[in-house]
Amino acid sequence: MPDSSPDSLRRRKLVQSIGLGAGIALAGCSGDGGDGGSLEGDGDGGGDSLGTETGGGDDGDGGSGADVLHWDAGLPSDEEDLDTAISNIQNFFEERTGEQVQITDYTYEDMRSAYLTGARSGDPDSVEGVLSHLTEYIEADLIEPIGDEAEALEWYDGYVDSTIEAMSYQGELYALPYTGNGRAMIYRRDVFEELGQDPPETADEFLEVGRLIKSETDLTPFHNCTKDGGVRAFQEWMSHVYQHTENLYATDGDGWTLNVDADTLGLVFDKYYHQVWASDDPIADPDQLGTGWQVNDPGYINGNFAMIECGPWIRGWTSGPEIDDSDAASEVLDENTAVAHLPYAEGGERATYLEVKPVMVNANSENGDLGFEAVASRCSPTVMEQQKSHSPGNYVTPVHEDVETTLESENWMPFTDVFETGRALAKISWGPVRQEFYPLMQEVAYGETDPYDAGSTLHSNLKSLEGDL
Amino acid sequence: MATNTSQGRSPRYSEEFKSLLSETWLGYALILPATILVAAIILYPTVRGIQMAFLEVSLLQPGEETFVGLENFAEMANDAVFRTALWQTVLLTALAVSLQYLLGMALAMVLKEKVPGMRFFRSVSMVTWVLPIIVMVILFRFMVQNGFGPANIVLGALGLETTYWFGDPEMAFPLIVLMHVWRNVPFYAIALMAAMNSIPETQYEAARLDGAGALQRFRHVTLPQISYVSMIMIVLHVIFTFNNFEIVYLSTGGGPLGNTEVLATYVYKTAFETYALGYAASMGVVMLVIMLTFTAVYVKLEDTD
Repeated sequence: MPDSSPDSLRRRKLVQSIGLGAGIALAGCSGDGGDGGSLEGDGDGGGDSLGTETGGGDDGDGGSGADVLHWDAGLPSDEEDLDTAISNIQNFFEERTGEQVQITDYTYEDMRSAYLTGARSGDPDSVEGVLSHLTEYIEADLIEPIGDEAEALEWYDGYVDSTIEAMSYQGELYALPYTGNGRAMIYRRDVFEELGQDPPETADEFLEVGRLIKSETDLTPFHNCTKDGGVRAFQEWMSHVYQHTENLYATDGDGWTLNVDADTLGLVFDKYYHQVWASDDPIADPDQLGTGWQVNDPGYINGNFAMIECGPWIRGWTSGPEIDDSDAASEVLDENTAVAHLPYAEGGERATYLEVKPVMVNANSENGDLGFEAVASRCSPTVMEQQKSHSPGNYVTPVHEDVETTLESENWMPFTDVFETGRALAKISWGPVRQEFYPLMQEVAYGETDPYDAGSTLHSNLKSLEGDL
Repeated sequence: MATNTSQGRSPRYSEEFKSLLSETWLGYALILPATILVAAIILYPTVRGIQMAFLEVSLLQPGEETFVGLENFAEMANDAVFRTALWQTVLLTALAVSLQYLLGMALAMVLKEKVPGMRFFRSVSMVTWVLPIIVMVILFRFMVQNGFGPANIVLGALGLETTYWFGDPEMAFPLIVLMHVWRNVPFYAIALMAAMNSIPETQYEAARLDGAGALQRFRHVTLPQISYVSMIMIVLHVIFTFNNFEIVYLSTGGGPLGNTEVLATYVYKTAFETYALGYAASMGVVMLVIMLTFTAVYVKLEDTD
């Protein structure tokens, strides 16, 4: 007979409540039914791959047998190329140390979240990233200075000075670089020649030629990234900010001060977002608003846009699901494309966002020495030379003098000059700055806010962040 | 005597052992390992999350915590983005779950029919549910691309407006609702169909003999007997949708113009972009309270019915 005493009822209620609570907590944890969806990489190129692991051996630690764990989001997405890229690093590492390194392939966004929340456990021993990650990891005490070890490397002196500077903070070197580039204007040389135009030097010339292309051809004159939260959108905006200031925030050693005025922020919004997307005569297609690199880069390669702001990674991108016609894409990139400095608005000068990718050692690693060897292997000129076969875009403007450029076409040569005008991000925590930028950028691009009002609001918001950076 | 005592003890021990076996304490002992495991993986993070809601703590320096009492909750009350995200989360959940349930029910009634090819159709109908979210989002993004997306090609051929629909401030939110519905309707259908199949055919026959029409049979025979499954499906999907992050984040990132920002994406941005772990945790606590309240009220109402 069932026990229906009050005690039993209370107990059953208790068990029911615990079950209910556990159910809610589990459902909350699992989100939409526990699907294995991974965050999309919103990196600067096309085709960040989803997380995969490649071990360095057959036994031991975590089943991989590797002595060191390295996380990397800068590896090729094609499976065959990925295997080659990983083998190149592993072989070099093994030759130097006699040990094995396990390499986990990530997307940048997943890797950053995982590293910020989990690096204190000691894994991974080394990590690749982008410049904004470097500053965050320094701030969080998650990476350690490697100056002494780096200087002992036989190839250390060959790194380009500006890239080593970008890896340093307050006199300490925190990472080694393996690739770098400056954002440039990539344009359709054939279209410009047909219209008798030179690449634009200033923002006004850029808008003028854009309107001419619009009236004379079927192409969309220009496209830039306006996706909320898109890393590329932030980098494109920073390129134009750098044309007016050495850095968005400057330091006097104690703290950071906003280093740009409201009018300049308004000017950048006006020339590159309002005029481009929301004016009476826009030079971008307003139906493409809210898109990121997924539309920007393939759109150019597929022959839809006459100008985009881009890095050299686009150079060899002639196949994949995003590309409509490989032959046509090759023709666009090999024969009909040229490169120029980004146009600048009045009061500005040639400058651009400098992308240098750092490889760092986890400050909590129990294998710090081997962690550094993984960094050294990833960034050695020997491995860089080997990686050129599958990732030529990473070595258009090599960060080491022993590595030869992959550039062959005269049209793409200006990337070398553009690289020299690059400015690296200040060593601050950029997350809050990005979050202030996105909504205002979208308001301007969608025509909801006057660009100079948005510039004023952004200035005020960025000013209020000074103490938190 | 000693022998007698020993003989006397054995049955007593045996009885006690039997008694112990029948006692609930053994039951408690058996579930203890699972309870400890659940406590470690669910209770600890939950309690820690609630604790963090009352702290100021940065993602970059998680060791440096300052107790701020209810300040995070006060800040939330003045946070316009939070209010928008909350409203949009509630709206998304209400629309998506209602449509999923209604369409799932309709599909279940179709799937229940014994017609040729239905087994194949049942299998195919589950494809959307088993598809990883990242694949679904890429698929949708491709479909609504301006120029070459199939949806826009069809619209263009019909002479209708074409655009990148995820970038359209008015269409992005309905598109998010559509993605939730597209994904989950088959799951509702299969669950409701299973519940419908468990209803004895004799009850329908009896209802027919009593003169009940199709609508009355559905109202008085089918609906009451699928209500328990319906409750489970609705509660689970309200929780899933309310907490869903991937669909919005991967397709629009919360934009355009914040029109698809939901609590899950805002919590993520707060924690990982502005590093405000304490504030993000306090929003998580609000979400937990809302979901607990909804579930308790809904289950109570269902019991009353």
